[in-house]
Amino acid sequence: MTRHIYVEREVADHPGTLGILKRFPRATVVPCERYTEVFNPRAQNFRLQKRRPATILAKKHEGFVLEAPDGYRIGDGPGYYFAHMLNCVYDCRYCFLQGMYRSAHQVVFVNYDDFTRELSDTISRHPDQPAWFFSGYDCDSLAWEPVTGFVAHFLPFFENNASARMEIRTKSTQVRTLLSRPPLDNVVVAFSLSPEPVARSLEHRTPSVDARIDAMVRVQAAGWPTGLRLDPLILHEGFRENYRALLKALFDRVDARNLHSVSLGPFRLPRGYFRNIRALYPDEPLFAGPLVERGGMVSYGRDAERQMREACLEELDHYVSAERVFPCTWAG
Amino acid sequence: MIRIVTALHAEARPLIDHFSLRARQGKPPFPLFEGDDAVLVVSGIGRVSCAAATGWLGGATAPGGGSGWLNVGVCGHASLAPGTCRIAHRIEDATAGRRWYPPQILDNSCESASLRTVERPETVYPCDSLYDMEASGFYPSALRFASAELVQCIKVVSDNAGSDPSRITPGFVEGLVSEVMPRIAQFAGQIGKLAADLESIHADPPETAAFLSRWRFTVTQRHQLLELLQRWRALHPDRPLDPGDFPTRATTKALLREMRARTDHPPSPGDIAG
Repeated sequence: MTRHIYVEREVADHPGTLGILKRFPRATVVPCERYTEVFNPRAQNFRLQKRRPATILAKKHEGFVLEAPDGYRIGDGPGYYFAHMLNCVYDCRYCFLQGMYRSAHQVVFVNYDDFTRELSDTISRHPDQPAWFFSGYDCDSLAWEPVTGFVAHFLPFFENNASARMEIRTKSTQVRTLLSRPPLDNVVVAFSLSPEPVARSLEHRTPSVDARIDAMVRVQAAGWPTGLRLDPLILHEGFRENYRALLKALFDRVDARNLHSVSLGPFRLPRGYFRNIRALYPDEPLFAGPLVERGGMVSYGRDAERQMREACLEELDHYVSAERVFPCTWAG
Repeated sequence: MIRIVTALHAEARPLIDHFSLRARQGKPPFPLFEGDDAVLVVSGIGRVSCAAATGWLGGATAPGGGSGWLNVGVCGHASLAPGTCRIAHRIEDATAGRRWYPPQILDNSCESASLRTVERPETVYPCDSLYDMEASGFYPSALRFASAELVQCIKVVSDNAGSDPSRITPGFVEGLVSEVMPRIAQFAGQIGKLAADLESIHADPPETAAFLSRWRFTVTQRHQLLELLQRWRALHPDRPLDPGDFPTRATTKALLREMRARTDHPPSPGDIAG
């Protein structure tokens, strides 16, 4: 686990910092002035650091709540995202974070109260329309829950702001906090799944697909709205059969009628991020395959995307009504 | 391969012995010792000399993208006993106020500590840090040649608040470094291995030379060739492209077109349609 923890002097005595440090009594604590002096310098190698990422405890000063990018929303209405962490404990080869950040260290912003303040402001700007808040964009929402207590902190906020909606997006099985309290109608726990062969080759350090389905079953049984995220869709031999098998395994156990939503989108990366990632992983087949650049994004060609999307929609049609399915429509 | 920088000959001698290094003949600007697994330069005392020697070593030994760098030397600390060995997880230049944080991604038994680089030997030790006179010169210079994970400092405490400065003789320093040589060697080996791993990931595919000898490529075409060979290797690691598979008389342009067509071949639509 984490051997070095960098701590910004400004949050050295913050309760969040002290709580996290308590969980790692043997870690070496390294003081720093700002997390950026550890996280941002050039001449860092994300791939090497991912072998043993450190943790950085920091204070976020601005940009607590940001507008969600296209293709990340569910349905209409305003969409925002907020990130209590930068980087993820998992190591999914397709993840854009590898191309966005120079460092693989995990930054945890401990000043949660500042986040909730800005969430309140944002909610008040949309009195007539429920706004969505996505928490799993720059990190996995739940994977480090025992350390960060993120969900435990933010659920009461959304309980008191029932007009707002939050999506907790995860590949983890850390659902204890959710199971230990009554569910909230305005909080959707969305599980990202891929067919087992894809997960095995690309979603490193994640729980198995079976374990994720098991967690989803328990969360749904506890009354939480649950979502399914098939994003990114990865082109591979046996694509349709594998997605068919995944959905069958899922809906054998998860009640499709009670599923809040399904979203799906093809593998895509901004051009700059793609170049960074391919430079890090020249030996990765995913980036060596037939990809095209259009609209500033690197993705599979239009035909392949259409075929993948249609195949998934056809398979989903056996289980979930169309109005709950949200294909990603990025402007590519 | 690991590139080592020390300030003193006394610090260098145990390393020269361990890595079986030989002095480069002629009159290099800094004493340089070379071997199969390591090269070492003796910079002299102070951060400016150390920065200059590090930069010179980088140029003189033409490091690849995956070279490892290590600054080895003695240091002071308020209370740590002489002979204590530490890896620097934070380097601070006391004069300029600049700071660096060498990423600690290697698993080894040596603890880490903050390191403060000062202009003159420290005798008061106001902070709970190691004190040296070179690291802040070494680190930013070495970062010009390698990624931060591959640039590290390992220090041996030679003096503390209670010690007598007059006993820090060359023989004493050499003895201290010799005592912790197994730890230094282990750390150097780990960095060297990491550097080699990185280099092998980014190395040109072995078949590159065969293609280059059979066709004539412009600089741009050469880049395209390397990218295609690398992509092919990622997709088919057990089935390298053979120049013999392509007609010798094909133009370079036609060759690259054919290679691209083969590499871009996607899984068949039938696989998607199921």
